[in-house]
Amino acid sequence: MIKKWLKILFFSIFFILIFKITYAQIVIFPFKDLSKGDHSINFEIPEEIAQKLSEEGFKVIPPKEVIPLLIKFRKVDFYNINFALLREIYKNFNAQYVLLGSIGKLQKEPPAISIVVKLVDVSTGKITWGKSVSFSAEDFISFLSLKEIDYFSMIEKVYKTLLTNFKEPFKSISKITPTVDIQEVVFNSRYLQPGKTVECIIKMVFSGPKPSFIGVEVKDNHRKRLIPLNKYTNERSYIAFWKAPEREGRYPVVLVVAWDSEWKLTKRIFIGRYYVDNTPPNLNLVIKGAKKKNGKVLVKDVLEIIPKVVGSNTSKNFIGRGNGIAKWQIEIYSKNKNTLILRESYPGELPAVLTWYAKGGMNTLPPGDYLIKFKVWDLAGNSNEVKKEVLLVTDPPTPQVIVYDGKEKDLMEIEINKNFIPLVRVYLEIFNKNGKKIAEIKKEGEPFDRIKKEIFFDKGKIKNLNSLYYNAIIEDELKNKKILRRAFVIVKKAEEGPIRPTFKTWVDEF
Amino acid sequence: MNSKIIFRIFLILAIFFLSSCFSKKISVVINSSNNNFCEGTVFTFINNTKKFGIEFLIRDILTVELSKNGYILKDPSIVKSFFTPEERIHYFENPEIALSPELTKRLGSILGLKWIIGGKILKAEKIGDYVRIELLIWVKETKNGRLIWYSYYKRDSDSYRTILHFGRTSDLYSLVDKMVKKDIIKDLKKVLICEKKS
Repeated sequence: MIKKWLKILFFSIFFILIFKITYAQIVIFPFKDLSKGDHSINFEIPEEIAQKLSEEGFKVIPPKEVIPLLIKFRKVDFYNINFALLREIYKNFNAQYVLLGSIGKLQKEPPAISIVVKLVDVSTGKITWGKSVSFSAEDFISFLSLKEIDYFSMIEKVYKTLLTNFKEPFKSISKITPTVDIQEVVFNSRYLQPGKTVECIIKMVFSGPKPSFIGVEVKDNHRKRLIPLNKYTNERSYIAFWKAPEREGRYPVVLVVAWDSEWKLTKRIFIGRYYVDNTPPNLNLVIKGAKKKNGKVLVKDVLEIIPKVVGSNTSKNFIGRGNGIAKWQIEIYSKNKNTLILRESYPGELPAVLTWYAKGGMNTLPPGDYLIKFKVWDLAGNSNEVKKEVLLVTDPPTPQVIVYDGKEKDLMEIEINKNFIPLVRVYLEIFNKNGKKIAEIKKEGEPFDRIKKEIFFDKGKIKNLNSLYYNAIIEDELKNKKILRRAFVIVKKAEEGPIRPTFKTWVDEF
Repeated sequence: MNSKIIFRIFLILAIFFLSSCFSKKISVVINSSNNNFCEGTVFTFINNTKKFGIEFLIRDILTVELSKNGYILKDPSIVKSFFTPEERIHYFENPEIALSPELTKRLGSILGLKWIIGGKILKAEKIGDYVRIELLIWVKETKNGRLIWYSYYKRDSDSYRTILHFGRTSDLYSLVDKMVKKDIIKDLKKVLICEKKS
């Protein structure tokens, strides 16, 4: 009977020992302290939790012992984990779990504490256990507020609540697969023309045995190809080159890492895509609020140009962030002098509006014909150019005031049709040589090219038509204004003139 | 006569106390035919308020509570480690549009996730002893990368009050904790139907 009990006792002790040896270890990370800002960490609370778990019989690695590994792994944010780090944790500490925690509030007066903890399985990255505690002073208000809780009592209650019923799941990991953590991927350009060389640099960290193959899988026009990655500047960086396919489109790039022999494992991780683009951007130049005549843009002193990539061509479809434009350039040529007067070139996106001041400061330009050339290059290097002819008009046209000399009566006509820019306002007064106003003409409103007006001069009173002069205020369509003083009236024979006296005129005269 | 007055007072008090239990909520289920919504992850909420840290706390409390309710959750930082560097930048710059259907589907196929939870904190304020929070929460399924559920929650100090002043919350984090544990989890369980759940 005693022997039997001794046997039971022996086996119990044996199993307890075995259980303790194989019992999962927990690595406790420093907690993220959100109460103190973005990058604050707390050691005090996780150390205390580690201590309490140890006292309960759990095998625990406290935060301070994990720090060297995290530094070695260049992990500055202790709350963000990945499979490579988890594998290193397993390898270095033989631990099956990582306890992560975040502190939302840690206030002493009045006491308020908010903590969330979670236990992560190193082999799967799954959360196997977790608890959140959020205590504030009013949670402990007793009837009639006879007793208030202090910070130290509250934190003890937090520990108790967090760790009550803490059951570390028993788990035995036989093997944990090797893994890779991609830290950075750099392409020489995401947008390329067909046949150009794609250059891809990948910075990555391996955990586990050395892989037998590291490369990238790229898709060609017809098939998939494996391009091996070669060591680059340091042990973490690898580089691969290949030619971009001929057909336009977007092409995925997948990292392929293979472990042979023991593992027979291949990991394929999508790392990004690049675009093959052979279509120039469809550029359109919009001239804001400008008048147009005979294909030319009329400008008084300010020209507002709005460049836009339009349409649904392929380049437009390839746009990533921004408008897909890598560089733009504006050139302004004087057609009269046949010279380049401005060239500006900038990298990056198109400007919303380009304002060209023809007048003012250093940029005053003489009136005349100008040519604007606007050129853009997309991210793949395809370019397109748009030209616009601009007529700079800084002065309104001078009208010709002509009087047609008749036998008995004189008719007057004001001709302005030889000028390019229509007028919108004319106020004209004709004076004789004594300075007496003998006629007045007013016209404004819709743009007009010509004023034909019959004015009868009394031959008896006006002896010499050649002594007539006029004062005028004129305004053209571009709001250019001109004041004319004592300008001479041109006199022509009535037979030369376009105006013939009307039937009514002759009847009145008769 | 006295009993009638007592009854009336009791009725008024009962209505008063019960009214503090109701809160505003708008919830929309778009489509949820899948009954195998066991595995997923919770992403950090977008925080439109000045209360830093509350977005991480909501994520963690939700993660822990869903895990307690039998769901299998992958740590969000592990999920995000499968973003390409470009996607990481895009997500950091504009989390509202960065989680495209294509990316959601890819994460689902790599990690075996069925759903991804995210949301936006619209208001979080504390004025004296009064606290208030407003948030939007959504669920995307990874099969098609579509949004399958979203809901709006608005809670304040009195939302979880019991009798007189007992249970009145004056701490924002306690309010978040109560809101997640008492309401959000309950609603999520109706959407994330997991038949294998233990």
